[in-house]
Amino acid sequence: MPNQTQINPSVDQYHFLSGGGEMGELTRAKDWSKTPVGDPGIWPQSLRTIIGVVLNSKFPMFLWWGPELICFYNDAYRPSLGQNGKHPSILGMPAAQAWPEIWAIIKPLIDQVLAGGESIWFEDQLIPIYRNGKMEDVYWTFSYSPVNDESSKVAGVLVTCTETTEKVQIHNRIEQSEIRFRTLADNIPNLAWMAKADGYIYWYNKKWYDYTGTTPEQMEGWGWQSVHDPLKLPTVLDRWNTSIQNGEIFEMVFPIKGADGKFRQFLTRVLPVKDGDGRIYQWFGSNTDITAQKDIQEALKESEQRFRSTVKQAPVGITILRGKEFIVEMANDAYLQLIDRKESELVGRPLFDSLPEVEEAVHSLLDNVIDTGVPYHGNELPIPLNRNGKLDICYFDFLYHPLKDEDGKISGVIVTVTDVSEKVEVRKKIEQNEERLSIIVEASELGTWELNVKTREAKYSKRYLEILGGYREEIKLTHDQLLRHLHPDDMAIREKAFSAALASGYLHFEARLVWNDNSIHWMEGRGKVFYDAKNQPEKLIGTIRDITTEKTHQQELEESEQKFRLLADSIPQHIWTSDTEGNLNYYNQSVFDYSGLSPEEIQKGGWMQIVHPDDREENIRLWIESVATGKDFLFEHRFLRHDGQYRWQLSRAIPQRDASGNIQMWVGTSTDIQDIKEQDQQKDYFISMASHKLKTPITSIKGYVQILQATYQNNDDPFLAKSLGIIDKQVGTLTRLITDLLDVSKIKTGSLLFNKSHFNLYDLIKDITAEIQHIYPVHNFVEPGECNISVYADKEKIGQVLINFLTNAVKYSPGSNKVKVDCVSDGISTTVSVEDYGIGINKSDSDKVFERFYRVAGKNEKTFPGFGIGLFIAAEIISRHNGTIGVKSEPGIGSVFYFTLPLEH
Amino acid sequence: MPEHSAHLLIIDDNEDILFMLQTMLQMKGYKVSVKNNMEQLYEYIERVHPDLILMDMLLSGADGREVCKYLKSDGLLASIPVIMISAHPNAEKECLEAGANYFLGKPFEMIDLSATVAAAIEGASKR
Repeated sequence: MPNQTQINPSVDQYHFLSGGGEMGELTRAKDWSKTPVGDPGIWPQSLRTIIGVVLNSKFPMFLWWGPELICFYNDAYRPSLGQNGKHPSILGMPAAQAWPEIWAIIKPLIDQVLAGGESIWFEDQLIPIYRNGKMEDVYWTFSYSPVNDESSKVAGVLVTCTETTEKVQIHNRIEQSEIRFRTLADNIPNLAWMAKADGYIYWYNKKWYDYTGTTPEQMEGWGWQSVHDPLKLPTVLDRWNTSIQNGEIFEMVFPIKGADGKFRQFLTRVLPVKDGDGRIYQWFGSNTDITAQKDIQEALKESEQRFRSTVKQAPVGITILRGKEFIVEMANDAYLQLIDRKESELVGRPLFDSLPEVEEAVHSLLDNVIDTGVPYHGNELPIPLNRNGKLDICYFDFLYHPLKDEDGKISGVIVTVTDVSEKVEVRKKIEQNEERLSIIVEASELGTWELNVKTREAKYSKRYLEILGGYREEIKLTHDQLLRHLHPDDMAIREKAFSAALASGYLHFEARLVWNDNSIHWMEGRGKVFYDAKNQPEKLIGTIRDITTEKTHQQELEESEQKFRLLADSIPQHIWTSDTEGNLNYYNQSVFDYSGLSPEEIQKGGWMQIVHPDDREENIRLWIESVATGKDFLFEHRFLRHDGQYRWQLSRAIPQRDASGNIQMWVGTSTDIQDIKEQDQQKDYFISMASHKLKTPITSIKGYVQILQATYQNNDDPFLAKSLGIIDKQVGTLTRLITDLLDVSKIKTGSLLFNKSHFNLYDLIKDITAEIQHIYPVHNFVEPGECNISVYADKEKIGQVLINFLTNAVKYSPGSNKVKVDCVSDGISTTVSVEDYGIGINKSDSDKVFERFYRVAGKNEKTFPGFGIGLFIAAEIISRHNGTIGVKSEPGIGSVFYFTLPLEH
Repeated sequence: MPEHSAHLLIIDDNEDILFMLQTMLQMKGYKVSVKNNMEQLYEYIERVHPDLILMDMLLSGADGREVCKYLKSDGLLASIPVIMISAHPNAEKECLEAGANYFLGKPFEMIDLSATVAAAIEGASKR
């Protein structure tokens, strides 16, 4: 097995493939020369660029490139493929091969984008894919955007998507519980908040904001420090960090600054919340106002003493600078670590001697604090710093606070500093991602907009204007001007959607737009409401999408569907369809007219209610079998008509398959065959009666001929003897014809009975051949060599088959006298064959000769007698013995009729 | 021409068949009585008391199967062997169920008739 993580040196040199985590490695390691896109060295710049974006994006992305639609995807996309599924085998694979199960769904979408059509965007679409060893129902929000090559032709399709299955499934549940919880938490009398395991506070209750007069943006994370007493803060931080590290309950009294600027004392308790494994996953804190009894100023003085001793251990970088030279009086460990300097090279020396690289950025700030006494807050200030061996831009939050001596004169500056480089880096990355997102939004053809609910000021993208009114340039329009594009009839829809959105937080509606050229277009609007601190709607941010094409398609589809229904309803047959599970889901009007049941009644009681109770079991069995195997369904059963009569129907259902052969639905028809069946029954009854009535006179003729033959057997008159012989032979022929007719009607009514016994087949062949030889003395019947073949069968009926074969051989070979009978066994079955050297049968006819009333047709054979039912009966007899019957023939050469019977063991 | 002492009764409403059967069996040397109607049938049978009865399944005025059942339930007549004849497709099974000892399907060969009659008489004498 090749090591997939080994980097292919020829690929490694291409910087556009750098980064990108696991998929980056896999993409680099792949031997692309064996794929249609070839070695990365020959990739066009357009592909290189887009691959760079895909691999390094944190947003799930997928790319199909080139005529074969070769697959690329990134780490963020990878979880969507699950375990035991497509990952990583589809990397570099043509799309049709990679996605067979949904190819029928996505192929038209891809084609549309490739053909230069609009980008496609779907939200929460159900597209099942194969992963985790099975087909899974997966919901996606995705867009397909064209990617152009150097010649500005569409060469690929960029898919940006997010799996939203979980969202779709649990969205409502979570939302409900979330609302409940927030309502509860906002209404408790204490200040309360929740922090992540690392102490990052992500939620405060309403009371907190009310008391402190702050906003969520100010407070998030570690923003709470701004409402603390700066002198007390290091201790709080120290204690809080200790609690976080050790997982201990935090309990402390400290002042928190109110909205009025005054501090009040709060007893603060923070409890860790643990998961099932005992790990802390969040903290729940509450601050209870215990009423400040101490003078805040006194408390400050007291704490001043403690301050110095605790500064050293504080996790925030602290240093004290004295005089205009900014001599470093002290610096704590955190500070030293932060600037990567030793205490010895710093303390007692001017700051900028030790840290020359920061002078330009901060010297004037420090000067200003010393000169004016106004503290300076630096927020995410970029500072060049030489640390860890190289010069980097680092980001710091810091406070320069003036230090006064006893005379109140400013003698120095206390510096507290936090390294926020990492946070800033992360945020920059997020900003980059947002930028990418906006590229994607652009590519997905969505228009974006933002509406300030209070001022009605609207912001919107260029694409928004294009969708809204067909504007080609960006122009500034007021909210009311924008609204004028909405179709007057749809204004109510929009109003309703907006009212609903202010309550629910989510906006969604579809409406018509009137463009500047008066053409009508369709749009779909979606949005989210953002609320202010007082829970009042503040702004709406959303997207609009041009759905004109969809709507047109939908209308066309509806019209076409209507046409189909009209057609189906005007057909006299019953027509129905079923889903792949076999559940019937559509019936045409004929079904309702026939049964007298309403669509609701059929839907409720199922179609089985009109099937005759005696036919149901077999009906269900065959239907289940067809649905399971995909074989056509064919069944005769009785349906209850509205007048209470059961009438025979011939039902047939055929599966409809998609391009890959998967069954999509079943279409069935049921045809009323009652009249045909009755006619058939009458015909069979007639044949049966007629045959029976014919037999009595034949018995008479036969009997008297035999009496005459017996009486005159010694008479010398040769004419009398010959005449009686001919009458006897012809009566024999007539008897066989009648027997055949009767057998046919017995087969039709299922009453052909068999009387099986053990006998030697060879003896039967010999007897029958002798009998036929007697009737056709001129012909030469060649018998098989003697053998002993024991079978268990109806001797008389097998004899009947053989007689039929032999008389046919004589009938259809006018130019030849030879008929060869043979019999061979292979240990399992025995085959009896009768070969003639006559006119033969065409290939097209040879399958039909065993059908009822079929006769070989042609100018040469019209004159031959027989009803053509002998072979039909023979086929039935042999099939009821679990044997096979057939013919091999060549026109002008002759035919071999044969049947096989299973041997006795 | 061989001589048989056996006395046969043929019941058939078809005169042509009746005469044919009579001729054939007389040629074989049997003593033959014939009846072409159902009037006082059982009294007639009791009086004649034949060694064998040959009758058609469908008779005008009576059903051969009912006649057969009656005969087989009668203490005196039950021992007389009965051969029933019919052209009806399902007749054989029904006739044998009604108690007939033998069945002949129409049309039949003369040789089959004489063989069946001989077998029936022999069977009865062995009993």
